[in-house]
Amino acid sequence: MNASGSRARVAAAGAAALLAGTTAAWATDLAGARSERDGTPSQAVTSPLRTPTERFREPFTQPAVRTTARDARPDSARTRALAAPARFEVAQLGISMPVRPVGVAGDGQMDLPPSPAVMGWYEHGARPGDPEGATVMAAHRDMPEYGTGPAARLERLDVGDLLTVRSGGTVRRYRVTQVTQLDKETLDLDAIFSRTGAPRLHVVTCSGRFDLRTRTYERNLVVVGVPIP
Amino acid sequence: MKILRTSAVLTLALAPAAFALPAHAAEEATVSILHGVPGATVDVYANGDSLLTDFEPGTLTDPVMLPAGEYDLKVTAAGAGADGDAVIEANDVTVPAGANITVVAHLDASGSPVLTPFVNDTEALDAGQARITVRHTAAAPAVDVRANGDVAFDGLTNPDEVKTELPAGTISADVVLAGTDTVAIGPADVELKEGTNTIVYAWGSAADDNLDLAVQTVSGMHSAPSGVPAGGGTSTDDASRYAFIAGSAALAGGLVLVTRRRATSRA
Repeated sequence: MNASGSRARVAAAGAAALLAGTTAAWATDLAGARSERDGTPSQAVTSPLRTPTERFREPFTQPAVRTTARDARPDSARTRALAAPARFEVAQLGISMPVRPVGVAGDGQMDLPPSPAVMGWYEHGARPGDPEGATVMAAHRDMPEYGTGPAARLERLDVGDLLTVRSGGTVRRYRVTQVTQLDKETLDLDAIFSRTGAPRLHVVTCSGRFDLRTRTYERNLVVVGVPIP
Repeated sequence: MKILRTSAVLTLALAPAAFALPAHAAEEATVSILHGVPGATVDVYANGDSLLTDFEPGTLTDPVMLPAGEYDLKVTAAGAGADGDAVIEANDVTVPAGANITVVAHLDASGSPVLTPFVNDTEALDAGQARITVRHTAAAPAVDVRANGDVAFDGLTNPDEVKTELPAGTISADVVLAGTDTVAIGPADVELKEGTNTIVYAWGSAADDNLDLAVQTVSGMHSAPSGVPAGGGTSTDDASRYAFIAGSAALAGGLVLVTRRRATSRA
């Protein structure tokens, strides 16, 4: 065997390796893309809500009519807000996470603490104890470098289970009324982030299949809790 | 095909009904009144009916729903009665259906009391954003409005307004004489809440040294974030994926080597 034959053999092996590697990369990618396009077959099984929009629709409220006047100077406009939530707990799942206020990320989505160990609270929405609206909290289910976080366990919750939120010195308990997995494309975000209606807690994380191409999960898990007086 | 078309037509026909606003919302307007004339406690009448009594300077009414239409507005000294002398009068003020309006009793640039209806911008805001509107309703020359020390709006004159959208938060606002660093009002911390239009009024009189700020907040323009990206995958996913890619590559490369070696030895 001469030197050039050996080089050709190695080159051919290299080319084959490259082709197979690329194919494997493409195939794993495609699996993700496919699941994003037609990831519906299991939908009926895990998600009883065929029309999430209706389930989350808010009652129409008419603005109250009042004719009183109040001080309009800048310092008088400042209202004393309730304490921001500081800790989220689910005793039965061994979840106890610190809560940090978060807003909106550059891409318009809810900003989340980078670590799945930390729960984010949407600071523009209701605070625990507010008379109306949804207090929205969300945490990453998992992250590279960190692994799977406590929020991944939330899908084990059932209706009737208890959630605890500590804000300042106040402890508030919520009873779970809904645990729902919804396709991100059909998710009614206006309902999840609603500022009106009865006070409630919406805890959100990701669920379903992970799309390796877009690096996102195809569904959101939404846990709804109502305050226990 | 025909069935398809029929159902499409039906959907279109039903769409307006499903999304139509309740009738009363379209025929009414939301009206607030701000008192920005220093030194006078007043009563306010609309078409001869008492709307508000003992209205003090620097105060703002809560919004009232009024039927859309034209209104004759009259401001009298407190207790003067419906037939009392008008301190300020404005006839045929148009209140358009569905609008959110603030009627401001204030001084014009030369110090005479006037009534100015402003339409408040209630267009929806992106999630995380707030709107600020500044209105010059003071007996004062042109001003610049500064936010955190930088000029945000320049050359604003009575009774004009300017507005912009910015991320929600608290700004330190002050008002300076246009083109100068001479502070006329403030500074004051103004909280710009997400999803609201915070309207700041400069009112009072420069000559009488009683310039002040009033703040009105119109809420309900918030939008929900566009999603909750609550998962990034795990490094385990990545590791297995790359292991699979590497494995496939190695296997294929190995196969080619073996096949070619056999071919070579046969030859």
